Amino acid sequence: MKNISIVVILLLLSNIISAQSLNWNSIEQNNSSQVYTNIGYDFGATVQLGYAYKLNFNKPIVLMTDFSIPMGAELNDYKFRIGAQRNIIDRGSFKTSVEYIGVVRRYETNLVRQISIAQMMSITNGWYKDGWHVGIEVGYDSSILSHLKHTEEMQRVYADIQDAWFKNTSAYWYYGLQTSKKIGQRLELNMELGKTNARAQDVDALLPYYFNFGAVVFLN
Amino acid sequence: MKNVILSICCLALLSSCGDTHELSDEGLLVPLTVMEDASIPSIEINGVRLHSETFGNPSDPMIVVLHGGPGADYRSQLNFKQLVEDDYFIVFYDQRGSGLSERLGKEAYSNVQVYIDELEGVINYYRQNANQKIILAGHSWGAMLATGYINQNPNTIDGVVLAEPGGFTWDQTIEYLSKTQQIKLLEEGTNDFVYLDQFITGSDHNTLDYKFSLSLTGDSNTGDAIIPSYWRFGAVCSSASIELAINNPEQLDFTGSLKTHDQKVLFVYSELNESYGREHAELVSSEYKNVELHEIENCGHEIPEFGWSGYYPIIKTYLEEVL
Repeated sequence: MKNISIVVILLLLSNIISAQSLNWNSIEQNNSSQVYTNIGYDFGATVQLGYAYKLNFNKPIVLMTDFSIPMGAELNDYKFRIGAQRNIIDRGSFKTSVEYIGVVRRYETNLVRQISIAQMMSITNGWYKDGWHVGIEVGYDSSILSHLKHTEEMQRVYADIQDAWFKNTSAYWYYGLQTSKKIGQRLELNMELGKTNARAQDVDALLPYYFNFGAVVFLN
Repeated sequence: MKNVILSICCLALLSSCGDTHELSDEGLLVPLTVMEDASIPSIEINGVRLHSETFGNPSDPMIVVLHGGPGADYRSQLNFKQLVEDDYFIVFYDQRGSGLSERLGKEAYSNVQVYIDELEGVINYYRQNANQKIILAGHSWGAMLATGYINQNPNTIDGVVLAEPGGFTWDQTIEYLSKTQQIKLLEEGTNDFVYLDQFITGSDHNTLDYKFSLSLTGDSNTGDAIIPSYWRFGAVCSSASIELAINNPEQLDFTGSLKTHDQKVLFVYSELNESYGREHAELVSSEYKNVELHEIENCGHEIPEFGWSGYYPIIKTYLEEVL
């Protein structure tokens, strides 16, 4: 019951997030805290820094939070995520985990400032060994609520444009491969490569792919 | 933690109350088109309702203004109204799927001929008689469209005013576009363009047109410091036309009969658009037999809006000469 309560609380708290490539064997054998960093393409060239913490129950839950920004001169766009992963099927080296992440993302140009509250849900099936893993990830990212505030420049285009809250402004599936390789006792390198598809008949992203190369450092 | 819980409660309340909207809601993020607002002046050409206005005496020599894109509109071309003072009849229209004209599915842009037929329909709609002089004034894609029309109807047009057409063959056009659309992954402008894809997805015209407008941040290398005026971009029109050009580049070749057009053509390019320049202007304009080439100073690609003070006297002199 305690485990269920924690998961429910996490689900309530985390509105938006994205997956972190985890080797469950490393998680189970290693320490509670880890920091991770990624660089790659995720709707733009991005860098990410995160922290994860393992809660030891009969099946561990990994809580995680991270922050990423796209490359560029101005720090007005970002993505903040908080969530949890849990291993739900454990059959030797084959494991299945689920992830739920809440996301707050921001986007600003000379035309608009948009803040979105979103959620990401994913399931990963993988083959996990002590020093490495490979997995297949399928997930869904949806913006629940977004606030749009337009600049004077945009108001010159359309004087009656509305600054307001909008619901369900975006949604897309993402699916891809992930792998990791442990280097020594405290370092693990990982990589993700995948594709995105906008929901239903929505038009796909200009570059509907994601790629991340990352490192995890186990702290204690 | 209290703040987080409070935020979630606010979110839940906002989600359930009536103050939240859909991106697809009419009139909230992009203006209505002629299909939703009957007060917008319009005409019907080939079964499609087009936003259109005219200025001046209908029996004067007629200048049909062709905007760029495909997908842009004639708001940035409105300086042409000044030619009413010189006794010209000015016709503006937003091409199908653009500006405030009717929105259509991508199948409506299956070939370039639909744009040429539409232009012919507009000319015939407003033309008072067979003796009325006709001038085409095109900017960017509009200048390519004007040339496409002339290529099929040489010597039927009395004056041609062209501002920075990308090219009259696909090779010329792609050479120009490749200079204007350089992607630099580590720059703010590029990331603004692609980062937006995770914030807005959609399939309806309101959402797609709005999203398209947000991508027009003015961060281009065509020499324009600010975004040109427009009412509403046609996202489906734009993407379908690009798809058409890539899949059928031969349709973007407007040169087959162009050399048989005898009348002098006015061709201008801008001083500040480094992607264009005199060399490209000479290459493209040489497809015509008889060309008057000018550089417009102190402006970029958006010559009709930001370079009008230099553009207008050249047009006026040219028209006095050829008509």
